[in-house]
Amino acid sequence: MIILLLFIAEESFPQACCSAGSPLLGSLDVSSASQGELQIGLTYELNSLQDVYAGTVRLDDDLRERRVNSFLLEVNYGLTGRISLTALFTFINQSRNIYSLGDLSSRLNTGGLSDGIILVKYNFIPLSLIDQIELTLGVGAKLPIGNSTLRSDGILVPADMQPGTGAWDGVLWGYFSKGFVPALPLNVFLNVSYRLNGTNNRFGDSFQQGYTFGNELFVNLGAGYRTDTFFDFTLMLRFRNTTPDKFDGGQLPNTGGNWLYLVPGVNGKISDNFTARLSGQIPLYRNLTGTQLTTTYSASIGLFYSINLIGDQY
Amino acid sequence: MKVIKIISLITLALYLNSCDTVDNADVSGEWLIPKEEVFDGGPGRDGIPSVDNPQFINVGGSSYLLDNDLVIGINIGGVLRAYPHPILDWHEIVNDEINGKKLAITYCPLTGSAIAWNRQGTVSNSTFGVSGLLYNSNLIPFDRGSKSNWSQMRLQCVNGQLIGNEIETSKIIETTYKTWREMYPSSKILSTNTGFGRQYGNYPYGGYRTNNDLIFPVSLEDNRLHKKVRVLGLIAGGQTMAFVINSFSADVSVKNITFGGEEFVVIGSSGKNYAAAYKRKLNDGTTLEFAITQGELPLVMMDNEGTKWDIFGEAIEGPRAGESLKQAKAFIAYWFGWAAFYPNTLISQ
Repeated sequence: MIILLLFIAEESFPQACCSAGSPLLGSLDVSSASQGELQIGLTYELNSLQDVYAGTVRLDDDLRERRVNSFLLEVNYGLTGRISLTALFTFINQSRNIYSLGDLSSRLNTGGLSDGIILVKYNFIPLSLIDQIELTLGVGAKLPIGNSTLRSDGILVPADMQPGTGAWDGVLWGYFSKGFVPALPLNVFLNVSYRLNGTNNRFGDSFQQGYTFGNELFVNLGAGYRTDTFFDFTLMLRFRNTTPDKFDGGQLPNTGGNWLYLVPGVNGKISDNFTARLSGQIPLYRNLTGTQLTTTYSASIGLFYSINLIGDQY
Repeated sequence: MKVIKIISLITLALYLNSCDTVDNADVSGEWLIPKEEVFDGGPGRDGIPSVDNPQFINVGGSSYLLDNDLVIGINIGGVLRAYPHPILDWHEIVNDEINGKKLAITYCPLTGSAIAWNRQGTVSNSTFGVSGLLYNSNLIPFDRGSKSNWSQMRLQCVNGQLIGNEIETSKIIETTYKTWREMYPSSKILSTNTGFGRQYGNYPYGGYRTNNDLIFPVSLEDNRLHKKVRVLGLIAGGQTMAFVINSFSADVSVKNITFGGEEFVVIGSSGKNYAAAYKRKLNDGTTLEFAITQGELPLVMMDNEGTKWDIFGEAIEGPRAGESLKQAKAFIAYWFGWAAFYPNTLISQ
């Protein structure tokens, strides 16, 4: 099982809002559950944002630091041999620290239940031992269950510091893989996901001006390598594109951009149905619209359990 | 199934600990402005760093500035300094001291408003920083002495120990870099050596200064003008009037007006992109009438007694040489910002 557990958030730098969005899309597991199979994954992710980029140029700036701690719970269940349901929920805690002359000048901490994703996946080409090809497509929605109007002593917290986005989004998802066993204990895969974002009402009814996070595209191209040992390995290139956020229909500056990451991971097979995974995310290239604070690194550790409920039952 | 139970318990524990929380010590206490209309712009307090140790170079030495880039010029006892918008776009506040006068040059790139604040009104003449908060899209500076929050365009402390205090201002002239350089070739201009790594040649807000979009809600939208039209707003006797800079003649226009029970002279040039207002009534009770003087920058007007006055309202030649016109309560801003702060503003034709 190749699992992609990543979390992305960006924060704009000058006086504007943000390009964070919900950290859900990049966290979706690529596996499809077989009929009656229940897969449960619990992951902790740390995302550290300290780099300030203007376009492709890194600015010499160490004033700000963002840390995002998230816990992700993903449940997959195979309804039939081809159709499975995925539900992903997150719990988030994040801090924004500002330093002035080396001293902490300002700190904002927020946390809570974040948004969730519900996805229906259809396995168009089930994985077989002969051609070792798999193709699964999914469609779903992001559910605005996290709070997007959190206030600090009466003042609305910035959009990218809210636990949720406050908007219903459409989600498209696809996964293709090709294995090469027994020639090589290797499979290569392509995972594409897209989030078409809706508009929230975070400024309240008195303004009637909506905020829309930029649409988000993930393209993950990678390979998984199996060994005869306790460990399996994955290596992936991840491309992420987000369009600028919008306020009242107008595009916001300093939001959106393109990112390319290297994502190494190692899986430890604890038992037949129990897997642990350690993963990191290293930025290779960033081309951001305007100036933004962006991910310096992220790391995650996860535990994954699968069980066939039908098998248990009978 | 034991594993599922364990994971379920962990999940339940996470859920029970996931009540929405927020912890921020920056914004407590009473506010003079509607707190629900104060927004956190995102960077946080000091996330946009003020320039606290400004360095200056000769005015001609700024290679990154374009002729049409705007600068904020100040004249304190004959010391002339210019602060370019392209630097203030990134810092919003420059804490400076000229001839012993402590100033905070404040500029909000979202409302296009520049005002020179006298720091004497704060605790220990403290410096100002950028709070990261906005009201009507406008900068809310905080003073570092008391951590009080001030509204730039309202010219008042709106939260904190100094709540209710009003800020005194100094005369400034906003104009193009080219015009300033031609008027005051011996003046100094703020250096890009600010101590921070920024791309000062790049405007950080995309198409914001010319499009009709906002980034944050404002309390009142007045669509009589394009949102980003730059106006000189004048406050007098509880009334407000806006002068569209582009409506002045290309060279220079002078308007002698009575407004809010006071006499003012308003000067402006659409070609050189400046506007300013001064009180026409002098301390001796004389009310002057002004006419333009052309091609003599920085001299822009002559009064009915034959005295020529410069763009800062200083008498340079003639019987009243050495005198100064009093500053009007006026500053330049984008129309939407001015209209949000000062509803029912008259627009000068």
